[in-house]
Amino acid sequence: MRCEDLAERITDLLEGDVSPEEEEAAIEHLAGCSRCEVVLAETRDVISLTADHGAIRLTSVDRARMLGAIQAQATTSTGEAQTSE
Amino acid sequence: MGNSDSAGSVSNRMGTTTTSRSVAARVESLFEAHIDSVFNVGYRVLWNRADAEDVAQRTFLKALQRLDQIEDDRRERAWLLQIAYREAIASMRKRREVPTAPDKFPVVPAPGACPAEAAIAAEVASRLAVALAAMRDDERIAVVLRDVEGLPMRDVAEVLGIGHSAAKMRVNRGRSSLRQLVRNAGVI
Repeated sequence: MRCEDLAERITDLLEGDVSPEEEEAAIEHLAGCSRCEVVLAETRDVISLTADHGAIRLTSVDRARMLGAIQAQATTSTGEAQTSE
Repeated sequence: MGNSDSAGSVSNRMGTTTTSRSVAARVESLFEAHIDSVFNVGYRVLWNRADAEDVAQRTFLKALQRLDQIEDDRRERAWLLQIAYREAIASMRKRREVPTAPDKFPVVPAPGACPAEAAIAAEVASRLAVALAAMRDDERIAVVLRDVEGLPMRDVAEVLGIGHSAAKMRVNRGRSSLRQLVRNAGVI
């Protein structure tokens, strides 16, 4: 396995979506390639970082305001639909 | 996923029109479970808070018109995020001005976090947002769906309207791009 091949398969490797032969070839390559070893470790780090800090949590005030607007529109639409039947 | 409700009325899975009260309850249930994810998808496409709120509102209203399309409750989130993504893309194509920088977003501290932890988390989130904004649009949203929202790859593919292999490739390239961006930003 070459460095470019490993780079293309990192997501497959991390998600266990490779054959036993491919996994063995990747492990063999990583054992002799410190650059790819760093890339793999950093990819794991970036996945954790994104999972831990990439979400947005709206404040309770924003949630209440947005829900109110949606419910007002939804009930209006329902009332119109029922009236038209 | 099933057929849309051509009458445009709000229907349940038996095809009967629901009452206003049950509609309100259903909206609230969907909203409470998924609003952060829906908002996140809109925001990561449009980078504008007001536009992301519009996308969220349209997403839930459209979802209510199509409740009969949910075939599997476990995939309710993917179904909603697919609507949100399509709404966000439609908004992006319509708008005349592209934001030069993402709207700043206050980070809500995790429950129980001390002030120092909250400050560090806010700084990391801020740098990550800058890195995410610098990514290609198609790769960013794939990474957000897989790594932030935690969707299985098949749901990432479904939300984006692409094949499974293409979704995996997009996530892989996105992670590679983001890795280099956050490394340059000193986050990892």
